[in-house]
Amino acid sequence: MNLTTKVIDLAELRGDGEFPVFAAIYNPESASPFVLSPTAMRWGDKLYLSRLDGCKFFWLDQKKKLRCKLADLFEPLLRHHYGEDFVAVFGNHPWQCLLYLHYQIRHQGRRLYLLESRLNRNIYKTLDWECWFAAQQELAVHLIASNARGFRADTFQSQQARMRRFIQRIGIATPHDMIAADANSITRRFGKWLGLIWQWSFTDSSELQGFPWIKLEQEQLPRVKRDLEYPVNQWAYIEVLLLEDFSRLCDQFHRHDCEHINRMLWEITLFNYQKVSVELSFRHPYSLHRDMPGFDTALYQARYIYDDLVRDLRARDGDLDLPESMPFICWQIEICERVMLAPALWELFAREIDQIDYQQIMALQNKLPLAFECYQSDASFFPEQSFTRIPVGTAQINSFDHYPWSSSAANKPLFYYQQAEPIENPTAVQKIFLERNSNQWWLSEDALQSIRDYFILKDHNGRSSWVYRTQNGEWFKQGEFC
Amino acid sequence: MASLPAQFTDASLQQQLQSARSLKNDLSHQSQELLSGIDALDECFARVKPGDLIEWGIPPGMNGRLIPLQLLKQQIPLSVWIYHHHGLGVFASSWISHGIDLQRLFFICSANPVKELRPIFLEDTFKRIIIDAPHKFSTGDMAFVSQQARKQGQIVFLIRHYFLTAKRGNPHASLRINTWQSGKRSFSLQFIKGPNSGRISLPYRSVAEDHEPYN
Repeated sequence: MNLTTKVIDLAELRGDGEFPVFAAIYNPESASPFVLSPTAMRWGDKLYLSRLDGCKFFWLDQKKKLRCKLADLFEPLLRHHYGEDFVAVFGNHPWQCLLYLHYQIRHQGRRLYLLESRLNRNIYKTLDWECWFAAQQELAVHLIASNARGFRADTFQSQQARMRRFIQRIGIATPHDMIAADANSITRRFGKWLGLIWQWSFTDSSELQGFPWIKLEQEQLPRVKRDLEYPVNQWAYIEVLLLEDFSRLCDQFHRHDCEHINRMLWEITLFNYQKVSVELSFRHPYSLHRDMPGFDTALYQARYIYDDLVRDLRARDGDLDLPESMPFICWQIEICERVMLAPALWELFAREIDQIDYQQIMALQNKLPLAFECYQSDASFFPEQSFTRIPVGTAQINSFDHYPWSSSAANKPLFYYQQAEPIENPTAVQKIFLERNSNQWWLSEDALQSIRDYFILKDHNGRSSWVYRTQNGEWFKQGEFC
Repeated sequence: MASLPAQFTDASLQQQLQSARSLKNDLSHQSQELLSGIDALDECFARVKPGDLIEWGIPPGMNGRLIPLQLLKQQIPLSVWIYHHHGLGVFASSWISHGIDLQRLFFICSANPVKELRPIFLEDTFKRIIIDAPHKFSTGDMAFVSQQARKQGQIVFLIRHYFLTAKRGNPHASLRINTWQSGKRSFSLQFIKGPNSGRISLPYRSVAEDHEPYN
């Protein structure tokens, strides 16, 4: 029998594991550095830094959908793009990621390391001075390139040499053994830059703190421009032209299967040469070329934008002598945000969970002007806190049975007022008492104020509503038994 | 010499007749589309088939939505509830307490569903579509929705915020029903159109939990 042992990470189980802000990646294939995030920096030959905080919610969302750990999410993606020999370190400060990456490369480490994990954190504490100083060689290059104020390579080298002599003299084996020394004392003794490096090496903060971040510019993003031969304002004509433009956009990124679009910018020039920029945004990364030849999703989103724009233009230009609304004379469509998703990973997103094809629902949602509402129960007797809205496709895993809480809502209506409406004291109508409820009375100064008595009110026409009375005797309507 | 094509021979006709009969047998054994677990209710919806549009008359405050809700409890396919009530949102705990699987039932708020949510009706992602008290829903919209439902094998519930009458018919609906909570102890269903006629009552306990008056 094949038995596997799985270590349960308590932080993961509780869902409060920190999301790493930076990743240092050794990329032997020299593939695109924008795999995890559109914000990246080239650190050295085949070595890149990626800043992930801008995409945090996207990746956390995917992690939830796949019900996996962060490492299991990133590893197949990096393997797809960078091959089997990549090394990636995820952490909260770029310097710590680089330091650990140097160590792993030196020891022929492969794959992915999360500095947040206890094992990697313990190994990080054992990194020696050699590793610490070696990582600084490329740092000096970047400090010069970024014109760091007051940095001089020759002074820095002499300060490094002084620090090496000091360490040899006192016989301390690793930087971590000297953690008690604060950055100020290192600065006083060995200069500003070594003081900063010392600070970066042990900081828990994700702030750059003077780290020389030089953003790598993305290559030219796909863009198409259209000059119209005659002004148009009818959707039927615009739709045909947009179809051609979307097809041209697909050609520009060579129908690459990894390309997924988050946002497109549609810059329209009106008949009076006014430029209007509107955004086609997709709730889930959208593969344009997979939607060929109809481009239904993109066209739906363009149509919603067109309708809104035309309505605004009509309201604004009501006094002008125009046929219907201000026509368009040219436009430009630019993909302004995209994400590279490996097809293998994309197929994982597409897999059915509990026999529900979330991929199909997300594709449909991309075509709608508003999102679907999904809910899950919460362990609270207080009505407003007894459920939460969740994104589509989020795995609903309850670590314990919510029945005692959910069953308490059996006598409550299907729809409720998110803002309870104050009502007159109902005297001449039938009242059916439901429950007395108190919301976290231990947190409020006046515990009595949090107590509510819930009733069903039945008026003379037999209509029922859901109301509550506060301890002050005020009445509020919170729902209707529709 | 010319010969009859094989598909027109007696033997072939016999086979086709047999296969048609077996198809009919299969259909008669097909499981019921709408199930609530309440026998009296299930009998009323026994003949509902994919492509049907059911119109409900449920005025606000009458608690009548608990009846169509019963038909969404048992192993439902992906469904969407399109609602539009002024200032009201979904009180999800109540739906869960009535046994609704909220992983399969999605909500979306729209006053003019056919115009605003057209892609929902053009695709067969959702096999049950509930259109709850739409602010705008023309006869043309009704024709479009029922046509799409037939094409894609969906069942559509159209809930009106008023009682339906036989005086004003609806050729697109296969069933037209009024439902409301009558008194403290029962729910009533009045059939306006469909195989059943008249009115039936369901005990309150079979639909929801009972509660006692306070004063």
